[in-house]
Amino acid sequence: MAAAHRRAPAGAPTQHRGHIHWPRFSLVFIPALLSLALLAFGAATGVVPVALAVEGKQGVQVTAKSFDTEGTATFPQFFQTQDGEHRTLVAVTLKNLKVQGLCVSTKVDTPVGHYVLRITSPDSGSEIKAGDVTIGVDTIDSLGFDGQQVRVNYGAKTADGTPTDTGSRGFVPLEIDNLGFDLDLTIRWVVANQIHLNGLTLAGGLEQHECK
Amino acid sequence: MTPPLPVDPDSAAEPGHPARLAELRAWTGQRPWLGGTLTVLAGLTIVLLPAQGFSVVLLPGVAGLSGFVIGGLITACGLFLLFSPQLHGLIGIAAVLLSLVSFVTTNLGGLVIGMLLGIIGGSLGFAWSPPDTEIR
Repeated sequence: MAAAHRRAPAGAPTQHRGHIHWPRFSLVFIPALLSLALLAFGAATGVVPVALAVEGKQGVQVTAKSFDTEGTATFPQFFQTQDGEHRTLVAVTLKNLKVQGLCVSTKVDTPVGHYVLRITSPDSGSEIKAGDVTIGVDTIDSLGFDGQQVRVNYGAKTADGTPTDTGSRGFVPLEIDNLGFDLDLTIRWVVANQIHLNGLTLAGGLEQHECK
Repeated sequence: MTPPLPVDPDSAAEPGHPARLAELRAWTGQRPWLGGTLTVLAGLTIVLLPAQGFSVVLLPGVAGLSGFVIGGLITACGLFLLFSPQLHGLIGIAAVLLSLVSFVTTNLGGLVIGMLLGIIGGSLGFAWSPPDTEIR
């Protein structure tokens, strides 16, 4: 047996305690670090998708120059808090999300002041993509819309010029140009899969400003 | 550098040395305790760090499931290193691979901290040599 060959012969110096064989350590540790560097580089350039899941209670400011997604909502979803309370919420699922000009910031109170962590992406060029984002919305605290043009059932007519329904059954044919909105939500959890990050800038410190 | 001296198990039982400490010393000498402990900490970090101070304990569906699965597996690897030290080679490699996987599946590997602990712990577990092996 192989283990028997590793036993020290009689009279050879032996140890009664296990020990670390450092060449074997570097045999695994160095390739692992190289793999990690490749993964980190891939994630930073958007080649390697990553997954994030955040739950709980933390104030986060999110702004975006533009985003494109397909959204669905499921109600009710249930969750349980640490004090045993069962609550319901709406689970909003965003598929094929593409975001440009993203800014995400969170502020943490520390003994030396407000520490702000801020993540930003460029306004144009590279975009952040996510295959599947699920947001658990507890309450909608305020909602403001600003659309320059809103068209319902626009552009579809029969041969004699009579407006007709468009789109699939159960969908409202709605077109809105230059839509801007301001949402204030209480979100209990966020799960995002297949995230392709590209050109993200991460900044943190006491002097950082929150996203506006 | 001074090479490590052979350890005499009787030295731990010298007068005045607490018996519990001697038992602990004997126990840690028979297993990759440092690698196992770091690997357990890595798994717990990946499972618990994103939820620290948060209010939700039970999520609907499979939300956040990967963190529990990967973190749980890494924790199990650490426990295997501590309590089945004869498997240290295989388990050490598994802990390192799972830690690398956690980077893309679970909040960047427990915000990088858990992943680094797992890589170091798994590598230490793999590199551990059992007692009474030949000193080179």
